[in-house]
Amino acid sequence: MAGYALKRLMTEYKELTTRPPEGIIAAPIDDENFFEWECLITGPDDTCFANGVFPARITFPQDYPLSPPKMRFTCELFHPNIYQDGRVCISILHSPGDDPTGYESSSERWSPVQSIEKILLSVVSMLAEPNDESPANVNAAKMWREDRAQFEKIADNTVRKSLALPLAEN
Amino acid sequence: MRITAGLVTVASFVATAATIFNAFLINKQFYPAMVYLTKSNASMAVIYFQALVLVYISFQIIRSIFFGDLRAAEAEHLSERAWHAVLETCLAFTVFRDDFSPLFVLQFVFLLLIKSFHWLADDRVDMMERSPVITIKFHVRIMAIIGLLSGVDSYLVSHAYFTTILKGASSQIVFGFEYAILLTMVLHVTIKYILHMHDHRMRTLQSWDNKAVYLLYAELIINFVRCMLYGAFTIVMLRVHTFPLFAVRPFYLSIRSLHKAFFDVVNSRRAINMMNTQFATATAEELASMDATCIICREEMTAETQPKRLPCSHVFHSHCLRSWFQRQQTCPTCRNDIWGRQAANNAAEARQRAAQVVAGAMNGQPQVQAQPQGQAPPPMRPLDNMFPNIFAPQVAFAQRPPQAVPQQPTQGAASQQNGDIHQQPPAGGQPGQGQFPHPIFYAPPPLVHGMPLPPTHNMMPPPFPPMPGGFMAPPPPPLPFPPRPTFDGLSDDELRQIEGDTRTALEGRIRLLQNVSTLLDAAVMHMQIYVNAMNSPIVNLPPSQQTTTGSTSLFSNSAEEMTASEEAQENQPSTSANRADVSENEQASSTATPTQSKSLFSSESSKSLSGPLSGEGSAMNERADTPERSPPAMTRTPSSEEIRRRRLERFNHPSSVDSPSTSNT
Repeated sequence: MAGYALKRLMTEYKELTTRPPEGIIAAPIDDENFFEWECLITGPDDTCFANGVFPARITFPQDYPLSPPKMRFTCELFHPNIYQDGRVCISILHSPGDDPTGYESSSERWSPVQSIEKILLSVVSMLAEPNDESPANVNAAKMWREDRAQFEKIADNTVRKSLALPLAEN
Repeated sequence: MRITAGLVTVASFVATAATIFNAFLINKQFYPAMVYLTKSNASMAVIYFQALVLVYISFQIIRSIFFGDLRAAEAEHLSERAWHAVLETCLAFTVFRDDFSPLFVLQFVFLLLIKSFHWLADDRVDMMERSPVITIKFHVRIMAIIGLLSGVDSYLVSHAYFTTILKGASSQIVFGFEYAILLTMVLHVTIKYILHMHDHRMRTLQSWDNKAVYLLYAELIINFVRCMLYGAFTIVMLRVHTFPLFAVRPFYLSIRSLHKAFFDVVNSRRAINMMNTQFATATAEELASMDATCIICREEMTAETQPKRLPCSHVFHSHCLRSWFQRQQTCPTCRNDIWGRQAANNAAEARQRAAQVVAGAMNGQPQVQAQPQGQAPPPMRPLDNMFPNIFAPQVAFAQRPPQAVPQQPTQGAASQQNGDIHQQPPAGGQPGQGQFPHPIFYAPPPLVHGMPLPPTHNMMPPPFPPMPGGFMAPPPPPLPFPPRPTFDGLSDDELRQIEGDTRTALEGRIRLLQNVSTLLDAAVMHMQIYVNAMNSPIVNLPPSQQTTTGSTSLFSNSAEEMTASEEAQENQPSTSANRADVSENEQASSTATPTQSKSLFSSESSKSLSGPLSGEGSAMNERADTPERSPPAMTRTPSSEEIRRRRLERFNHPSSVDSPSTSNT
């Protein structure tokens, strides 16, 4: 089974390198293990995360693509749908069986039809439009709803940090 | 981490050396120095710690020989499992506090050491699946460690066994069972290794579908053996010592994985069964006409891999679908539940099959004859064969392109084409004809109980009074007709779902419509059965003739054809004579048919130009052709013959009423 997983990951890697989606780079960490990927995601334009480059790590299960991979930002990211430890909480990464939030319809969940590219694109759109209905980071969701200016300031600092720029004055 | 471990090692060596040096410095001689060392608690602590460090060093050496550097995941697994094992060892010490001795501790530490290599080997073999390249070094290492571990395990098991036999029950029972369980683990690792290795060698050629199944069964069996061992261990321990608290966690874990393996096997079997029996295999042409990439594994599908088509018409590799169905029984693309639709399809199919049997018994005609090669609209396929009489013209028309080159001009095809001729005059007058590619669209609307349904059938449009009149004239007998679809069976929730404008609501509506269409199909089929029954006096003619005359009386509007059908009915009493005639004609027709079908086609095409006037010619043509045609192989069992005769008797009366009314129109 996992022979197929390896084959499929290689296919996806080939596709991602030959036709990379805009603002996304993803590749396995080393040649020996195709089940750990590292990716860089640029913040979508015209949002508070614009211009930021955020590294993340994707871990694939043995039975990929039957089970969804796990994704985790390795940088600090203050966002309603990202846990404190960097884990990304979007419905596409949840298999239809389990429902951690109870908000997701099964049609948005993981299925073998999805791909790394689709995951990363939905993460980009998640950065652009946080879903504060089922927050992973309640503080961030609250701030996003009630104090957008402060949220944007924090986001701006995150972007600066990711680019190794001096932080903005608070 | 490494540095601290190194530092600790060095510090331990220094401390040991200092302790021993100190002892010799004080006592000057070997024997008193030893006594001093063993009596002094501080020195003993240093020496015990040194032993621990030595074990650690030997572990690192063996690890670097057999495994090289550990991957992050392996190290993580190892430390996690090691903590549990240490905890269990401490629990075991409490059970065996009477036997507690340095030797006992040493044995436990050795057990831990051996166990850790088992875990590493297990992880490493699992890694084979993920790694694209596998070196010879890897194979040598794995084989060596498997050999070593199995040797050590089996030696220690036998050692524990003989110790227990000779000296009675002791803590050796624990070690015996522990090593036996480790032996099962070695066995599992070996099986996995062999399977992966085979897979790797096959991978260059093709994918090996059965590996997953073998792995599942191996896991099931190994887990079963492990559970048995733990069970036996618990029983033995309860009789000899006390309840083995330290074995509870691994026992529970192995029961859980046995449970999981069992259900995996069940699900996988069910999925395989489903794949093999319930879904149509996509043909090469179908694959060529679509995007032939399996969306699960992102690889091309070829006809050799036997890709499967789901009821929602999405196509996947069968092995990909199989592993997906082990997890979920939905379509990966559209997430339709395959069970729900499958059940509906099955019901419809069963109904169709039952009706087919009845129809076959009634007119004694093999149903599978009118099947042109190479065209496959799979789900509706049976319908073409269902209604040879009514549908023959339409099928022939709809599928004219493949028949233009007469491949296998069977009797059925000939009779179809003949039907086509009769159908041609109305066809010429009907400009929009032939738009519908699929024969099912030509199905006459089920005129059940004279229900005025919108005419979807352009062979029998409203401005064509004689035909529907002729068709509907006999008062429909009371049919055991399937109930019309009502919404009674649906719960409020389902109704509300259907009312909405969401995707699920739309799907619900579509599903409902599909049910309706199934019922309509069933209705058409019933009609067909009764029509057959009414025409059955004509059945006494050879079936092929009956086919043409039947369709004539049903569909034609020309007076000439009416007379033809009446003539046919006049022939009714002379059954035996006709049959003899047929058998004579059989040999002749087998050679005559190929050319005949061609000539029929050409005559038909010329006629379609000449318009409705050619009706008479076609009728003559038909009469000229009929003797040449042989019947299909008549295989009628005595019982079906009996049924047929009884039915004929029953329907004789209505049909005699029927024929005048037909001619009236």
